[in-house]
Amino acid sequence: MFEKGITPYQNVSILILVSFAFQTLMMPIILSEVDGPVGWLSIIIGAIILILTIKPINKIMDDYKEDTIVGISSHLLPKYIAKSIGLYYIILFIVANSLLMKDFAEQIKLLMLFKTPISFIIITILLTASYAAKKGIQTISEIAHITVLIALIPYLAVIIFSAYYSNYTNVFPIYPVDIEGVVKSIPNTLFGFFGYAILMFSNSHVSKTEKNMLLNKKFIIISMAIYIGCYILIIIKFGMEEAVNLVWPFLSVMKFVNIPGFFFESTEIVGMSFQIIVTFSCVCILMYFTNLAIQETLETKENGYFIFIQIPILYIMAAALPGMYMLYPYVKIPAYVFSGLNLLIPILIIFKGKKKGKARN
Amino acid sequence: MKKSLLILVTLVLVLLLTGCWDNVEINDREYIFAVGIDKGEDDNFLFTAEIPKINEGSEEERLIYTAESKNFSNFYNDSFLRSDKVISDRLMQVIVIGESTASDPSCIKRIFDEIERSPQINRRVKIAVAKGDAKDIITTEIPSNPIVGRYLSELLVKLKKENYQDIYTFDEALLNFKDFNSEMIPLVEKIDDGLKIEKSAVIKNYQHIGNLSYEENEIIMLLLDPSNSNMKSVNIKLEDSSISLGAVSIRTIERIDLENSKLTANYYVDLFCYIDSFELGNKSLSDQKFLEQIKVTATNQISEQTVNTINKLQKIYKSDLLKIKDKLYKFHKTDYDKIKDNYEQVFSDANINVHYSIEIKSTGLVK
Repeated sequence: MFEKGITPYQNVSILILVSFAFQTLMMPIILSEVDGPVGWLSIIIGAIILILTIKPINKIMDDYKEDTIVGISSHLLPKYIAKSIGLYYIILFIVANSLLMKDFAEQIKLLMLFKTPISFIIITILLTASYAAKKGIQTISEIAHITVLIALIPYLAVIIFSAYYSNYTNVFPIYPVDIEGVVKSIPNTLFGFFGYAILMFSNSHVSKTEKNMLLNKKFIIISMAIYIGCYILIIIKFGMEEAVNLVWPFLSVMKFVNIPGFFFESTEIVGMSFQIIVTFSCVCILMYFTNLAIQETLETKENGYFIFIQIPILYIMAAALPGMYMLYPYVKIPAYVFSGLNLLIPILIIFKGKKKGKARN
Repeated sequence: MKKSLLILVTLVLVLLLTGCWDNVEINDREYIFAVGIDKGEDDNFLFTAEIPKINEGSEEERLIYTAESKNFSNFYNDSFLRSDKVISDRLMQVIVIGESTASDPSCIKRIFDEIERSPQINRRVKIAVAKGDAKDIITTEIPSNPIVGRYLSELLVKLKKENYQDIYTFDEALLNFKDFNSEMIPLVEKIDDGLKIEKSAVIKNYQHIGNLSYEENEIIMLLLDPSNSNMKSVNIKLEDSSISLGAVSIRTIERIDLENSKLTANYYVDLFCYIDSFELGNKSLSDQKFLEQIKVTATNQISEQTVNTINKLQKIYKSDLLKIKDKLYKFHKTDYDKIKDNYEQVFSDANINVHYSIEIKSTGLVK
């Protein structure tokens, strides 16, 4: 078996990092869904919904300390439902990972490696990431922790330099609020908190589980702050009209980075370099947890074998997907389904757990 | 066995390192610093590119390429065939749009679309409209700073910092087009020993429709961004004496109302001035009545200029360069939604008043 035991703070790093990657991925959808610059309301509502479920789900997880959500569901639910839940998480992680990789590979090709075939970029990332993922949760968590310090924080810091000559009044009008748009985009913002799906697996690996509840809440608050910060940055930089027109709004913000005293031939490459580290870590994390989900669903004791099985699946899926600009109109419905199930499965487990607790009493 | 396999994989990876496939050594590149775009024949553009000889170690010498092409991509392809180097626009400093190009909306749209779409060209590239041909601007010999791209870039940055111009980059121009449909872009003119940017070109619906003088520009900038704007010198004539005042601080309060499609905008501008020049030996400045007269004369003069400028915007150009539309959209959205389809007419009929108040804070080092 893999080595168990990561620190609660390493767990938070994993969750923040994965969420950040999906927040940048979902940003164009949130921008275009809401009429006016009030998408941050959806982010806040999404975060509140998730925070409300943190306490009960952690209580259930405390009762089954060694188990992930797949393990817990096999204790509480009929076998076929438990297997279906496991299968759902496998599909979720594989689809999410292939989307992330496709998006990232496209950006690299467009800005840096013009002649390199996209499939070659994908296979290179996959091979390297699978090697790291095979090393186990401790290595992954250390990578995530270091990545937050050396890549995510500098990345966000560098972006601050792009806020020069921004139009801060672009955050208006707030009133009248497009309530329909805000409500419609909540599932998309929920998908941006991808760490929430990961914590259903990672919490059981934490050495001091008593800290999980507090740190899970902290993860959602920090993630929400980053999400809102990125959203507002795009709005003040481009305004709504232009922001919805951009395929990679976050990447376009990088074009404005101007660090005093530094000379760069292409400023967006500075951000891309940090993003490479962040995305690579996310791919490793997702590969590891896909392996874990497969392992728990099939109830095998094999450690890491499924990481290599994922490579051809991820490669074919990422290579077969059309470009992101074509994908965005079709991402909405899967995002609705995945966000709904990501929320419903823990609620079902909470409900069943409470029922069982009452029966025991 | 495991070790040798690891070495083999490492070696293969080193050979296949993805970055190496695309590399072009810096010595093999030519960096465009400035490009001028004029209208060519058969729907083509006439591109004039300035390339400093960085690779040869000279910062003061340059090459000029001129070619007719359909767009930037074709121009780069043509240049590729004419040079032993690879042309790159990643360090592009300035794009100068010729008057002929700026007067044709379809040309402006094509150029702006290609720049916006390009992953290579930086959105922060500076932009200016040429008085006459852009080629003449790019080929100008400036003795003090021979690289026109660098010269114009530094000049535009300075003008933006000092609030002489509203727009200086492609990004700002693009966002203004999309949000307001009209804007003023710096107008670069050729003079005897170089280039100057004093006026601005009014672009409406992607078309150059006229120019604004230095004074008109100054008044618009004053109303657009009072906290950073300048009114460097107000020259008046009083009792046969010439007096020059400069505003050291400006405070503005604006009130914008929209009632039943009637737009009213009132600007209350306080100018805190220093006397810059008067007459040696003339003691009139110590007389309060004389100072009052200066204030009244200066106020009347600025007010008259302002009325003329606003009239030009409302009646001739029908362009809301004061960005009142932006304030309506952001702070009076419900009312704005009712008139947004008819905004041009609403702006034309609007009641826009600027009320000046001048305070003389100092007469300099002498009374």
